[in-house]
Amino acid sequence: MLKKSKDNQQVQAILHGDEKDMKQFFDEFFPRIYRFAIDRVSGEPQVAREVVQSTLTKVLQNIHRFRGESSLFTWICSICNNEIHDYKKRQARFNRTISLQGGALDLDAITQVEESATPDRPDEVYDREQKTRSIHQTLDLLPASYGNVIEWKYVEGLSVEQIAERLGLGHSAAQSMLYRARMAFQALYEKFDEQGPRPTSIGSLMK
Amino acid sequence: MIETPESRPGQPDDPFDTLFDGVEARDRPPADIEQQVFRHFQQQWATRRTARTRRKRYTYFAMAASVLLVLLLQPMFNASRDLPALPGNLGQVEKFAGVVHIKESNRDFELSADMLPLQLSGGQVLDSGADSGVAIQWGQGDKSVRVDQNTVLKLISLTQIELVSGQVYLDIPGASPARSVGADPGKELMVVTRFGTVRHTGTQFVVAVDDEALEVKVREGSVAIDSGSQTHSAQAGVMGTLDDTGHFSYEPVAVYGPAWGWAEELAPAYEIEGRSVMDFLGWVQRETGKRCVYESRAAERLARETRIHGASLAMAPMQALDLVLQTNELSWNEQNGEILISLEH
Repeated sequence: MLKKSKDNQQVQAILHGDEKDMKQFFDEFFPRIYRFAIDRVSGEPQVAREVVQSTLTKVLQNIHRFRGESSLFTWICSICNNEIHDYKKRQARFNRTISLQGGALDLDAITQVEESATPDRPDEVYDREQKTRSIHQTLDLLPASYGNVIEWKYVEGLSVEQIAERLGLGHSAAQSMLYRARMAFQALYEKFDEQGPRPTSIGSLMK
Repeated sequence: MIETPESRPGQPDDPFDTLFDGVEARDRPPADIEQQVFRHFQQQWATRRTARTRRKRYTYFAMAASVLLVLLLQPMFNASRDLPALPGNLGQVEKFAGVVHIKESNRDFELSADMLPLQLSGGQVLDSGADSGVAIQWGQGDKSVRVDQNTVLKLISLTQIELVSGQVYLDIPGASPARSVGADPGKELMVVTRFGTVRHTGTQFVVAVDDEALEVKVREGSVAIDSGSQTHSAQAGVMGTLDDTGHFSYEPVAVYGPAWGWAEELAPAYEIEGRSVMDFLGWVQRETGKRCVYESRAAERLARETRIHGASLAMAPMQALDLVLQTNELSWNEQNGEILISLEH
């Protein structure tokens, strides 16, 4: 409920707010959408940039249609997914191999690239990577402020005082935010855990 | 699994400490990318905010504005309707992909490979489906008009096409970038849209139209966009946006990369027989928007002196580059929009 109310505030802020609201919206969503995208475009930063840029343009075009049926982040991710899909379709068309007229040269033989075999990795390395991926994805599903405080506390090792200072809050307010963030993280992470390490859609996690 | 959710941070044996053990921080997006995307987002947001503000203001004068709008737009519509639909040969379809319909006043047919090269004439409407596109050799020369997927394009005359929706890429070699915005308006190929008319004073650009705006991305040279009584111009590396309130804005745009990929893919086959590698590299440069740079004079000389023999290259330019350079002692590397040509070691 609180999340929906925050989402609605963000929608109103981007529709009717000022430059500060627009910057806050960008800071809230850009890093998370970027990470969502780059995982799906083979880690190519320029491709992720293009996809995220067009996603945000579509968000601006259509945000008045957002009805709160999912979280705002999920809704933005679904737009991003479509943009990635369109990008891949364009690339597939672009990369389609067309044989040489007259067949003078065997293009396939020349351009064939042998895929390097994936080296065997110990299970624990694989498990650790999976765990890190799950944690990162869960953090990105949380509101940015929650994801950040958890990361500052448990990854960067900041104290509650340092987090309070970073957020410009008092000690007890920071403590309270961290507590709420942990609860939210826990609820999501457990859903994540039940559904396996790599959910196929963000929406399935948020329902 | 986190076993004790109620535990408070900082308590001994905090399960979060265990869970996060060995976990690294999430990657931050690169600062330059964040900056680029933010600038674009900020500009798009500002454009829409201005449009919304204007729309609100206009509501108070809706009736009067409607009448005024009709009066103002009448000449534009008339201009479009009165254009003579020349029956003559406007160009020919060189290449197409997917499903493309050609509509005439009394028939509608789907383009097929056995029709190529198909002559086009005034009055025809090209309608491309999803994952489709068409490359047209325009007029008698070497101008190229490429139609992206989901695009409706009306052919009006040798000097006018009307983009109803979607996007087109125009490549007009040999046009002088020094030409002024107002020069030769009757002779150059213009793209008419419901937002305004786009005229080239340079050579390579994309025009796109959707429900809300006209966008012009310029790869080389410059273009002029006529909207009512105003003329705006956009230079290479710039995207100009004209929205439905008449507001025009600019932002930087890359002259190469995936956004141009669809036009590259529709590049007509390149005739290699007897051409030098340097000529070929010029074609790659033109089609991709990437600059070819020689690592050494020896590499440049070899590219100038080496002649290519063989059938035409009906493939995307970067694929062709890979293929052609494997047949001689040159190699290539690409970085930040530059193709570095060097001698193979």
